[in-house]
Amino acid sequence: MKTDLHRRLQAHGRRPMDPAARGRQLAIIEAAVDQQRRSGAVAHAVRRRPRRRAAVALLSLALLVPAGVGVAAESALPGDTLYPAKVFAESVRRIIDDDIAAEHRVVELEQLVERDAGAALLDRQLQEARREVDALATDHQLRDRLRDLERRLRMVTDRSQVDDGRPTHDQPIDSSTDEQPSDQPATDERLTDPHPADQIEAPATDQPPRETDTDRRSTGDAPADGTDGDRSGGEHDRRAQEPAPVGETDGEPVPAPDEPVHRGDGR
Amino acid sequence: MSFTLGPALPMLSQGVKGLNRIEYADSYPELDALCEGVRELAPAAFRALYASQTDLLHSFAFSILRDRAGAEDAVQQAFLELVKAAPTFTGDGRSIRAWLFRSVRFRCLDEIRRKSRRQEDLRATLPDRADEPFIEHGLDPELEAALSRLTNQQRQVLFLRHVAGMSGHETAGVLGMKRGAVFATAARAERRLRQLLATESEVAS
Repeated sequence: MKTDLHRRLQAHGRRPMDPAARGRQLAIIEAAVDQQRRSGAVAHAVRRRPRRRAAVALLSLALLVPAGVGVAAESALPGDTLYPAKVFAESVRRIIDDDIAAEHRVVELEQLVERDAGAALLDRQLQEARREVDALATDHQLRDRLRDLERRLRMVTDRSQVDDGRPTHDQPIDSSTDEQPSDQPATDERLTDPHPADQIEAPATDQPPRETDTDRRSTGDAPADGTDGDRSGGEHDRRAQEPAPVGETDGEPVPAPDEPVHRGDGR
Repeated sequence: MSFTLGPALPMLSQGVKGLNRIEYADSYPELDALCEGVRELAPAAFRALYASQTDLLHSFAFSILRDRAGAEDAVQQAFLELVKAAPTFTGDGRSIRAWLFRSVRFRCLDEIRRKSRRQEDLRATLPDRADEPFIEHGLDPELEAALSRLTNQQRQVLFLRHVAGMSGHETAGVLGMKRGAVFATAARAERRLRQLLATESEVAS
């Protein structure tokens, strides 16, 4: 029954096209094929795919590269290749976040200090950070962070002055060696006020000056800071075993904190 | 007593196949050979494709439109579309065949929509086809009357399955249906057709 129906449907369904109509249609279709060939559709089709692929690749690059640079530049520091990209991104973000630049500058300064960056770079960064932080509200927490950093920088500069054994007038980061940083909070006046050159004048001899020399000249106190004390302590220990150099004013290698010898040292 | 179904299964399967005696094509090697030529717009390939598919496509269009001129137009439009799309065509002979059938079907449905907008009742014109030349090709008036009572989708499924010899998968591809829906529609259409034919023969006798 099923095959019978199938046969009937097959016989009934076949309606061949009229031969005249067939010939007419074939001529039209062949003409269309010819026209399509002459218009270069084949070559175009072959070329189009690589071109489309290249366009997609370019578009992806155009979208991905700036995003990648932006992400990579987030952690850039002054002097890095991507730092300008960071500054540019910052200028955009500034529209919605006023503190972003100040925060970046302070964080960068922290990182530069950690990395023992050059004095000139540190000074430039400090100026930048000050400029940005000054524009903030007076009670902004970034001020405290910057103040701490300035204190650390001063200590570093002090140490380098003492260790190098030569004055660092040319170093832009000024240090006020007349008082220990941990004794009292630093003020902006002190930070900006350069220390008088005669206070840190190098001794006449080639001997490296003692760290406590300048301190004691002004305060007469032993270093209160633990770190400083440790550093100088080590040096003092070494010197304690050496004979005192002839002609040196402070012949005592490890003076007592309140020893009056230095206080009366012409100051 | 032990009974194993294993050896009986191939026999059963053969028996069912033999009972149906309907073979559905899964691949078309002669069309596969033409694909490259079609892609490169070779006139010979288009001639061969047209020669092998025109009658079937025309029959399919006619089964939907019940109109010779409309069916011819639909076939021509489908081939002209293929000429335009050929350079970017990817696929084998089966897909090019399915593409042509789909294209013809869309042309026919467009034509039906256009006609219905003109408020023409197609069904009313169906019985008045006695003077058409396809009577010479073995028109079955009983079957024609029964087919006219089926839905358009049922007629399309029956055509693609029984006349074009398409598999369920291919038919589903052409009609945009699920394979299961194709089988269900075919079964329902065949049952309905048998009922209608039985009623017709009863009336005639």
